Amino acid sequence: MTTIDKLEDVQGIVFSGYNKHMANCSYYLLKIDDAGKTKPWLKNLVEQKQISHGADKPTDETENRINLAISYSGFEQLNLDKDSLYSFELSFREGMHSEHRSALLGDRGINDPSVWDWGSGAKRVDMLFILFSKNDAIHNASRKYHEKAFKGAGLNVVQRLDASEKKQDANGFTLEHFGFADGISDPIVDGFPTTSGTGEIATGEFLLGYPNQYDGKLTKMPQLGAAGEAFGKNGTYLVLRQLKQDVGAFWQFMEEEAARQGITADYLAAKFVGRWKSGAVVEPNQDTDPNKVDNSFNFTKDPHGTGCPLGSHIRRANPRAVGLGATEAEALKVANRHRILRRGRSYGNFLENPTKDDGKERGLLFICLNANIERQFEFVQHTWINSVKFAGLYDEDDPLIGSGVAENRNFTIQDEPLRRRVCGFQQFVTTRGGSYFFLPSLSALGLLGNS
Amino acid sequence: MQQNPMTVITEILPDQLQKLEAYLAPIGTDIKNNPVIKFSNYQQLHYCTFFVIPGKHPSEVDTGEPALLAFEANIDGDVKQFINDLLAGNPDFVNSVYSCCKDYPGNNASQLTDYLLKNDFGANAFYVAHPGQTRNTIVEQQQIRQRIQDYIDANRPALAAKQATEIHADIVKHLGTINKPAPQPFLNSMGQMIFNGLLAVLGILLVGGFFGMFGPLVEFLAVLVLIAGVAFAVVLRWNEMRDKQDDKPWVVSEQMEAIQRVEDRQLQNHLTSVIEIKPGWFRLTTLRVVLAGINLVAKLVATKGDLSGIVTIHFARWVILPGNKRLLFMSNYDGSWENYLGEFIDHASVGLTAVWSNTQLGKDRGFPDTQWLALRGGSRDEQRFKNFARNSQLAELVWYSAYIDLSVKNVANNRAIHEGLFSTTNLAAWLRCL
Repeated sequence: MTTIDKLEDVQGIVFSGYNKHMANCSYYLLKIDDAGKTKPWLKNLVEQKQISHGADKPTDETENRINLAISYSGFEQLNLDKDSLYSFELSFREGMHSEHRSALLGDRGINDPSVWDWGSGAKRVDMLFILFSKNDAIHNASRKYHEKAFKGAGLNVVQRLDASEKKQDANGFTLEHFGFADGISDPIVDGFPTTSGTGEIATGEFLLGYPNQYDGKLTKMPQLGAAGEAFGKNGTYLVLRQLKQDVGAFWQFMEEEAARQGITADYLAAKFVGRWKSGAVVEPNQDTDPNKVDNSFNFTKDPHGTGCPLGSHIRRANPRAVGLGATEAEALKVANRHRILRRGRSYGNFLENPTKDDGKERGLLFICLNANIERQFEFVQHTWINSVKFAGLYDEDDPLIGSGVAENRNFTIQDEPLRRRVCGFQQFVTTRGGSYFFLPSLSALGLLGNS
Repeated sequence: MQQNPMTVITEILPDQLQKLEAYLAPIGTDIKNNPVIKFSNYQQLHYCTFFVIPGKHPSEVDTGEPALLAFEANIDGDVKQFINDLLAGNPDFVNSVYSCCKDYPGNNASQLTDYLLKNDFGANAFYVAHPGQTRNTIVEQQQIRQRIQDYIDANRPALAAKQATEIHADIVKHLGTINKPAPQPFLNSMGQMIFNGLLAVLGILLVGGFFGMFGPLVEFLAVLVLIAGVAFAVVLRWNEMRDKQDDKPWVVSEQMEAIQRVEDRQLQNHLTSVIEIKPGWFRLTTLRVVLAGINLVAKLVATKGDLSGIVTIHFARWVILPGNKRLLFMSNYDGSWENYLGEFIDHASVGLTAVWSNTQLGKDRGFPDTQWLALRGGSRDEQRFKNFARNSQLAELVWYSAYIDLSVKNVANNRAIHEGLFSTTNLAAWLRCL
């Protein structure tokens, strides 16, 4: 079991998305116009203890939580020296919008960085400032306060993204826009204060400076001048993507296709996701939602995908103990080298009637943390979500969130005696913006403020 | 029919290098529709590449070595037949390329054939995912699958209401006349047994011989092998303790950018790696023995699309370059580079470390620290290994794949579908392939 040296040095969002106590959340995407003013502001934030960390547990009394992450261009603006800039990992240096990374991520056509709302070209983002608040009144006041402070700090707001009002199901799970329980399956991380006993995934997969899944090796850390790797320790990489969900089109298609095939829309959608709306995994010979959520399955009882289809969303996002090795243990070992820790929230209002679109934008502000973007987030996106050859398949990507196939997409639903196939559907999720950030430790933020 | 590796290595005339690159690069960027050569006309060709190995790669130290041109091809049947076909079909192409190389014999076809054959270094170790599967079979079996898919899509409700035997019969009837698949090569089914037998015989001779069970001569030989083994271990450890691993931070050279421009854009990728063999006879000999072992495993054991747990390689080969100073590795694989390297680490650390622990990027820039050739360290040092691999990589000028939309697993599944048309046993499993 690993122990994290200083919880008070780690930004709080690493351990919690604050869903319980913080009803409101705004994501400020900032551009640094005057680093000379930004640095004192940053220094002040740290010294005034305004950045939330892992040792302070929010209670019902807590009003705000603030976390802060910086992109590669942000570090350039803060005038890091060449060697320090070079010490960040390659994908981070190139950026999500770059030619190579975006091709790898499937951000082409309607997902192309050139048509994003932010994160590319003139809308480049240097810094991500996340403001959580307890309620509307506090949030409005805090927003005004910080927005004013940005002006004095030489920061320009490229975009502000507000999280949706929280919506929960009867079991207490948060719902996403398509109507499914979400956030059920985050990895249990060793050494985290939220984990009891030894976790299933090594600390170093999500926090730099600790043993990772490769026999306890240390993942390479960014360095800063004389501080060296101490700068990177207790930090991690943060991936943010604005994923627009076309809820109306999704459910309309489900209704029409289900009618055509003589099944129900809920059944078909559950096969796409791999879970029923309640969050229960789809098992073989199951026609309706059992409404009992148990996340301890590993697909060994469903090797052929007749319950949870081989190409369904959750099987791609985490294949667990099937398909990646000759044995259960080996498959799990491989799967666990590519996990991500999700910390995002939905944005936009929830659609009253899911089959009737109201023309407003809504979706997911996808945030994930990982110690190595290439091996974790990008790998999941490229090799599992968007790969048309995943699990021995031929020509289909993740039916829910994939962008590996542009149009006329297919999805195979394994069944006895003969597979079912859904053909010719569109992408229901579109990338509207995105960026890679580094989420420094509090002491690293202090170093930057003083640099 | 057997698949064979052709690896033609020739010296590029220094003043012709630019011209050669300028000639080949546009063919590579438009592999399908370029006006010069249509590789798909060669029906025995699975994959081929052309690339330049700079004289100072990978050490970046200029020793005056000339740049080399490598022409890799994975072909069905005879290499000479392929060269003859190529010279008959695209003589201008061959002449344009090789007139830039040393000792080019002129455009006489038979002299050119001899020239190419003389410079063909084949492979020290060669892996084929599906031995016996010709390029034409692979393409035909995909067409059979596609016809079955279309049939099921159009008739699924009616078919799904039937018994497995009836579904099978309906599909067979719908397809009409289909040729039976060629039987698999003998070694695909019996290779593992032969391999195990060989190991067992060797073991018995060694142990039994040591205890004098097979007379004095075998006893003497067994003891000799044992002594040689101990001596090898001592020299190996002595070498390993003096080796220095590469400690430069991860690198993005211009070369790397060139590689990334074409990588991960399509289902399959090609990896070309050229690396220095650590100096001295010991590492070279060890490498030769390891490669011979891998070649044996590839021929006998890894015949079902699975090279020691890696299920994404169509073809791979290791070639010790003329002069015995550098090792060339090439593979045609499915999926991303990150996944491919990950699979190496996750499943095949022993084999790959046994090869590459004998290599270095340059002086004092060795493979990640390794103990006992492959047993500890090496590629298990994930990030350092990936960095090492990146630095050894070269960009291809031309890369052709005859079936870029098929994965190794697809090829195997298509074969199972084809074979299942002629069998009614285990129909549930066959229906799952559809």
